Amino acid sequence: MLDRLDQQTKRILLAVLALVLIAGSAWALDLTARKKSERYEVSVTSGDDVLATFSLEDLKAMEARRVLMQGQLQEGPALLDVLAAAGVEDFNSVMIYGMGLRDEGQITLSRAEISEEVLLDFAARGTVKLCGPDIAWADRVRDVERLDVR
Amino acid sequence: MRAAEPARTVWGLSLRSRIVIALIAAMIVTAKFYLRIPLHVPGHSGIFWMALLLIGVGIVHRPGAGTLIGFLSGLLAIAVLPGREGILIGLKYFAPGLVMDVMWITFAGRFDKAAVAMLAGAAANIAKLSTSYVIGLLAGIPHGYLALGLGVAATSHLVFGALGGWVGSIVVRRLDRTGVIDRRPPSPQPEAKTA
Repeated sequence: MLDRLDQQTKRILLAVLALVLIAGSAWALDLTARKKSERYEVSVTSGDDVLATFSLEDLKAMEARRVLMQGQLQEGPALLDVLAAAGVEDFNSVMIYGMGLRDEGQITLSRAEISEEVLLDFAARGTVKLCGPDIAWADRVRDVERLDVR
Repeated sequence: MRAAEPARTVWGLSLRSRIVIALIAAMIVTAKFYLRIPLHVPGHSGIFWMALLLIGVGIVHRPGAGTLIGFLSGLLAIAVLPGREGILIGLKYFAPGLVMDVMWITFAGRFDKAAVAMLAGAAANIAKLSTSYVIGLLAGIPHGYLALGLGVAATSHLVFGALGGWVGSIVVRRLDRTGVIDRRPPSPQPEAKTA
C-alpha cells in the first residue's frame, strides 16, 4: 500500500517537474524572442512612400491615453497623435496592418471613425494593438506593423 | 422469455460510453465558442474545456476515451468554425484528449483525486498551447513572433488547465458516488467464429 502511494507520489512529482520544465522552456523562448524583437517598429506609409517609422520606445515617448474596453484599461498613444507625428494631418482613411497571427490582421478606419480614443495600446507581447471604444473586441488588430494613410 | 442479449461494444466501448464521448465532444466545442469569459487571458477557456474533457474521460473510464473525445471535438471544430487555422484546428482539440489519456493511464484513472486531475488538466491545456505553437510554425509564421508572450501564455494555460481539472475532479467524485461511473473492466470482444 505504502509502495503504491509512493509510486503515485513519484509520478505526481515527475509530472509536476515536466510541466515546470515546459513552462520554463516557454519563458526561455519568450525572453530570447524579446531580445531579438527589439527592432519591432510601426511604420506610417502612404502607398509606397514611408512617411515615418516608430520604434516601441518612440511610441512610449508619446503622450499616453487610456480607454476602457470590456472592463480592461487600454493604454497607449492615440492613433491621431502617431499619424500627426508622421506629418499626417489630412486623410480620408487609414488601413491598419498587423502581423495577423491571432486576428484578421487588418482593419480600415475612415477619418470619421477615428476619435481621440482610438489608441495603439501597449501589449504585454512587446507590440502595440489597435483598439478603441467603438472597435469590436474581435476587430482589434494586434501586433500592428503598418499604418497606411489614404 | 428471451434472454437479454449482451450489450454491443465498439472498441470495448458500450453504447452509453459512445454517447457520453459524443456529447462531451459537442459540449467542448459549444463551450469554446459560446461560454466566453471576458478575462482576456490566454488559455482561460481551459477551465471549461479541460473540466469537460476530464469529466468525459472520468465517466467512460476506459483508455482511449480522451483521444476519441479530442478527435470528435476536432472534427466538429473544423466543421463549425475552422477560423484562420483551417483543418489544423482539429489538432488543437486532438492533442489535449491524447494527453488526457496518457495522464489517465499514468495515474490509473484516479481523476477523482484533485491533485491528479489538476495535473491532467494542466498538461492537457499546455498540450493545446504547444499544438498552436507548432501549427503556427507549420504555417510559416516566424518563430520570434510566435514566441512573444509565450511565457505568460504557458503559465496561464497551466493555471487555467489545473483549475479546469480541479472542477472536473469535483464532478467526477460526485458522479462516482452516485454510481454513474462504470468501473467494471471492458466487455470482452466477441471472438471470431472459426470454421
